[in-house]
Amino acid sequence: MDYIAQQVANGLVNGTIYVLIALGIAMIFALTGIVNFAHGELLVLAAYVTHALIPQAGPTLWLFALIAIGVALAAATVGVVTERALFHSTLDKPIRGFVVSIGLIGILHAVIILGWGYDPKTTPAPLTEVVEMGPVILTEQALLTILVTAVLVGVLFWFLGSTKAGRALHATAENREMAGLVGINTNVIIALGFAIGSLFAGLGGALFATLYPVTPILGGQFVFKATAVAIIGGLGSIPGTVVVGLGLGVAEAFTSTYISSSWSNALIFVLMAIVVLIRPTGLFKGMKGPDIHA
Amino acid sequence: MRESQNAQRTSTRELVTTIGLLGLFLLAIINGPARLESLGTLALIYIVCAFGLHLLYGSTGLLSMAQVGLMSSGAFTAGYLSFVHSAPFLACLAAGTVVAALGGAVVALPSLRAHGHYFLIVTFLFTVLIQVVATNWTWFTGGVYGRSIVEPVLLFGFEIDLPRNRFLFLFAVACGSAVVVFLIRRSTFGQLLVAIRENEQLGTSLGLRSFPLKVAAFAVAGAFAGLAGALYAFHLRYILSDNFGLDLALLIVTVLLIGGARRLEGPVIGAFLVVFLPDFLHFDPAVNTGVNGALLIVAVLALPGGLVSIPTLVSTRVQARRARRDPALEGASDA
Repeated sequence: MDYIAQQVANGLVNGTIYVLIALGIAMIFALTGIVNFAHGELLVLAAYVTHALIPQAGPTLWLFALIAIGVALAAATVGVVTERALFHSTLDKPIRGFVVSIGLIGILHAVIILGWGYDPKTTPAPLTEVVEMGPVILTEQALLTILVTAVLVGVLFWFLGSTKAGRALHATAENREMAGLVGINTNVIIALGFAIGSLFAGLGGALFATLYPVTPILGGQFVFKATAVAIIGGLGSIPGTVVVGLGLGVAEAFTSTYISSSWSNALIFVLMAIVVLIRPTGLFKGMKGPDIHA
Repeated sequence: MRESQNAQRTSTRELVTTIGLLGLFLLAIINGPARLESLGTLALIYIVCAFGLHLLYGSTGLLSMAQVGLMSSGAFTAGYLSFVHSAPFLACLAAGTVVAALGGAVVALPSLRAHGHYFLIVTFLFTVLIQVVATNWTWFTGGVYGRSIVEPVLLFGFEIDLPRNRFLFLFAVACGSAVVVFLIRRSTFGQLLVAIRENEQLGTSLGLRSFPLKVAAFAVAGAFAGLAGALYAFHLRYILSDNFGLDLALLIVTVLLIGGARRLEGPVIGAFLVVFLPDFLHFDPAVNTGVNGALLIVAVLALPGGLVSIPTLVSTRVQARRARRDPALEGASDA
């Protein structure tokens, strides 16, 4: 029983990373219809940059916070730049945007490998203590990750539901043309969506670097799983993404202990195939998003 | 009626140019340094795989990302038969082709229920899923140790293991594939696929049953992928599930899109660019992936018709300029 509780906790920590990246994918999709596959590579790049910035002796919590925020802002800038330079011209044909993002994966992947090589890189965490909560043992850093994700999700929820910009973002996702007609500057809103999504990826990368070793192939794994999470959760639904992302983390923790860790990677795809077949719009009601035609 | 005749004439011209281009590459490589033969063989394998995607995307409008997954199913089928059962070369090729064709149909069934983006994503995830399965299914694929092929490659009793012979054999396969693609595109089946691409709803309203056609298109594309995969296995002599991941998926799509998805010459031009440009410029493999990515972005954003569309683009622009200079011509060109 204790063992099971521990697996659930480990799974939740992994799940937070899925949530952070899937939220960005879902938000960009809802606004533009583009599935940005380069999003996973962005998270891994952020993890490597964090690794490069953090001193090997281990950072203080404040230094880590400073670095993480800096990396997140830099990621947001990269997101906005790619939107303006590459994705913007594909808005009327989002499928082309998807192919552009695949090309972008190649470029970011090359940057990562040229910069840091193929070896896994471990980064010292600011919090190294271990916390015991009943049967569950977690590092403080893992708890910090869960806490930060929870706060971010809460802020995003509030932002989308209660601020003017958030409502405008929602409106643009529902119907870009109509939103433009009522005076919303949809170009700014789309850039904002990319900025928020990339900010999440950047922060996710910074947190991830302190939890696990970073390798260049992680980007691919993350983006596949996160896309699947976003689809199953109903693209654009925040509660859906959170529930499915955390659920995936937990389910993977169990399959990798009881079956095998390499098979646990296949779990999400089987789940997704089933969901797409039975309920192609996902389990939760998402934002409508633009109609996509091939 | 005239339009369909015109279309047939254009497709014949495409076939002639394609074979001509392949022939040019053959001459260039045979007369070049020996190391080009191996690269040339690789390019021809990519071409065969991309021909399948050309039918699926260029004709039918379905950009499937499962092509590399199917390619790996063909490769591992051939590898298994050759390594475990010492099956003859041609039998391995045939089995790889058939398995990937069936795989294509299986992948099509759930994928086609998804539309637009979902379709792309689902097919992409199939490539990932097949890779995960290949890594774990040890008795069939060799698992993490991969599969090496030790049998000599015999073709009607002749050994074709020498790089030169293998290249020539691949050249023949690529030309044969081009002819098959050409014949498929000319057939009623091929024409119906174009109808699906152009206006599926209209086709359906006229009694076209598009679903079985699309599944069949997937199977045909899968057959090309499987053939390419089996050839890849015999070319590399050692295959791992890692060979069939994101890099190769990116590469095959780049080959098709940078060359020109709708024209038969497209994959040929794309493959030679993607294979020989890095060799020519002495790139590190990592830089290579980046360059392929950049090429893909350029192709999508600046050159949607691919490199083959450049002559047409230039000639339309020249015509437009001429028409502007001489207004009398404007009416004439419209007529």
